[in-house]
Amino acid sequence: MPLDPGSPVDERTLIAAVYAGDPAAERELYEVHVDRVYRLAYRMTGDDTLAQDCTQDTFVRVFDRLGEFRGDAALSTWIHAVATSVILNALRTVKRLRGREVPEEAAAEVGHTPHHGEPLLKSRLEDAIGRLPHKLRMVFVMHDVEGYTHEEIGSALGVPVGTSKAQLFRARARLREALAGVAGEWAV
Amino acid sequence: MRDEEQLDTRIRELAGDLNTPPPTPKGEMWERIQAERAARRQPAWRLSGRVRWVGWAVGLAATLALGVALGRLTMRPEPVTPVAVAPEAATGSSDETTAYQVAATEHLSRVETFLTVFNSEAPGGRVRAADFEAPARQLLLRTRLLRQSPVTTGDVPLRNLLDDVELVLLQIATFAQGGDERELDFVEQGMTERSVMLRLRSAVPATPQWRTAGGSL
Repeated sequence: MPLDPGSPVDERTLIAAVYAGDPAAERELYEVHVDRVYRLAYRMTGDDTLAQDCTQDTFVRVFDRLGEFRGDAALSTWIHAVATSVILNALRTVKRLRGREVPEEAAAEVGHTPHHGEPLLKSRLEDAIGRLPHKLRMVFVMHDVEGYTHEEIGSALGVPVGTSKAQLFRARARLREALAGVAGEWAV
Repeated sequence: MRDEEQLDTRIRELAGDLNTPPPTPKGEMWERIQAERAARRQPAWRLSGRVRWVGWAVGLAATLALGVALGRLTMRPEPVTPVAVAPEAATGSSDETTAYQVAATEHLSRVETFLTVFNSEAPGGRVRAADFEAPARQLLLRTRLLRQSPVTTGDVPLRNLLDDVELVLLQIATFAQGGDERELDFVEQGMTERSVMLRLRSAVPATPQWRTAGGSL
């Protein structure tokens, strides 16, 4: 009978098998979690290569450090803690590289593809999300775009649930503020 | 308040259409993950972060100490006199020096080729970073062997060049072993700040006597 890795008992069985070096179990663990990790990485970076790098790095670390997983939380939570750390590191690196390549005032334009014919609102929103501090953006993307709960976000980012809620509130406020000038389009 | 809620709802809807992920390339990523893990299992000295730099520093110090020791052992214990001694006389016979110089030129030429390929292929990811590890380590080993030779002691520019080449090759090996873009930055910075490519290119043709030694080269 196939395992249901979502259930605590099967998750422990799966982890034990991976820890024992069972290649099939490793692949199963990967298959169960890779979609969410890759989606989050892609949403955050907007770049397929970078998203793949982040996803690969996440799973290499997960397999390397599985012995450190204590089982206090769900495995998916632990994997997302690794993933968010990898993604935030990657974003910091990209920001630093871009800052070196182009003048400060032009840096914000890097990586932004003009959306000809696209409503101004969507374009503004993309810019505004891109300008959010990485952690606020992470909370916004996880909660409002990918549907994570505040409990999951808090565990992944290592912050209390209240902090996650406060950061989401701030992120939304900044986005609303950034879009204030094109409020007319809301009626669309 | 109601307006804010409406705006938030609209933002969520629109944000869902931005950076929409394509289907997850599971198979490709799984292969690379497996390759990366296999590569990581091979080197016995895998360390991370600050510990790795400490490891390098210790390795470099050990190499330098070994070089100094070898140099002292191979030099004849003559009384110190205020007479200028040509490097060749102090470091070995003319044949040995020539053989060393030929080997050094050949090695520097290989390093130059390797770094040229690395510079053009690594940043764009056209060649997998891991593929650079084995050649970088081979060149690193040979660089250290040459650096340890007593002949190098008398040739300051060559010694300095080998030191810088060693550092760059170490950085490449680390990057290839699973390092991130930051380590690629270190490599580029190291090469630029020390003008490694320029010095390599000028070192190879700047020693015609090495190439023509013995009339057979």
